[in-house]
Amino acid sequence: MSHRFFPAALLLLLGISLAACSGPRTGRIQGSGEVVYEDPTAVETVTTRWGSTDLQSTAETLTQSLLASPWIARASAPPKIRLRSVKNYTDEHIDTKGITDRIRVLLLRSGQVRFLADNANLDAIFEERDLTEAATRRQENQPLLDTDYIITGSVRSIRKRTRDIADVYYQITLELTDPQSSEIVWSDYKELRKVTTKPRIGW
Amino acid sequence: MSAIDHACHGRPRMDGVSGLKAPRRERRQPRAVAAKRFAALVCLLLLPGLFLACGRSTVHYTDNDDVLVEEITHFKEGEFLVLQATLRNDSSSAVETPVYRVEWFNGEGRLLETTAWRPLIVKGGASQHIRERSTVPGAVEYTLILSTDAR
Repeated sequence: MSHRFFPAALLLLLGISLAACSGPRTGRIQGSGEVVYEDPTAVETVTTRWGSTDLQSTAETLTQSLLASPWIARASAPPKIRLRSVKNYTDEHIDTKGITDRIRVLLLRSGQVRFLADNANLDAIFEERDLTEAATRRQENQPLLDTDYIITGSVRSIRKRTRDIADVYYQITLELTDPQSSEIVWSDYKELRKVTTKPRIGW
Repeated sequence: MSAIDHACHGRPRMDGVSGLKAPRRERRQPRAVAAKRFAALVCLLLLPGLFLACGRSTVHYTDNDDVLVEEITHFKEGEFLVLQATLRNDSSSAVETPVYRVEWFNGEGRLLETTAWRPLIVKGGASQHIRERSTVPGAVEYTLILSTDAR
């Protein structure tokens, strides 16, 4: 009995010792610093400044609202939309392109709209067309201009601060406009309020 | 047709199951005929639900705090499923700041999309309504995940 048990125990010990001596875990390189991955969609409240949660919730809420609008929901064919700029009227730097990019991704995933190139990549498209102009007739460029709607918007904030409290209110408004008639067919806003309180003792 | 299946940990289950019940028949009939009629009635009642494919909703709690889902319902708007829920803070005084997210699934149980976590403020003893809409067509099931964890 003990003769059979001894080799098995030896193998087990060998396995444990080999595992202990092994190097870094497969697929992972770790430095000496404290770097961890976190959920990119987690609610972030590091400061009152514009953050990832504001961007995500704004884009998702306004996309949901836009998809419910009859101009999109009851359109006979997916309308062609061009994203124009969302103007930042706050006193901080906000990359509003981040908001519109996310909205575009969500809307395209929905399959309910088609997007035409916006300001950011229109230059690249015209450059590409110039390169291939010999093989392209001018009238074929026409569909690029046939926009059914454009999306515009703004971000505004009201910031107040006392010695102990900092309060910031954001209002993000989007509009869907028919460029032919100038009619604003849909508009909605998202409000956010962030407050930080300085502890009376500490810091 | 909706069935609310709560996979909550250490929480009272919400009896929100609106199952379909065959009406009780009072008149006496031969057993075989009665059974056939009963089966036909059940099929008739179940079929529209299957065609509508307004599947299941699930609520997951990740902790044991005071904010509970009081009521949850869903409906279709065009291609998209919309959920509406009422959350209640059972604590009489403390303001709770839970976060929640919604996962949308198609009829085969495939995850279609997940919202980002959303912050919420629910005052003590008060209720708060939330409304979320899938932005990908084909969602028939969803899970509402509610957490009051600090992170």
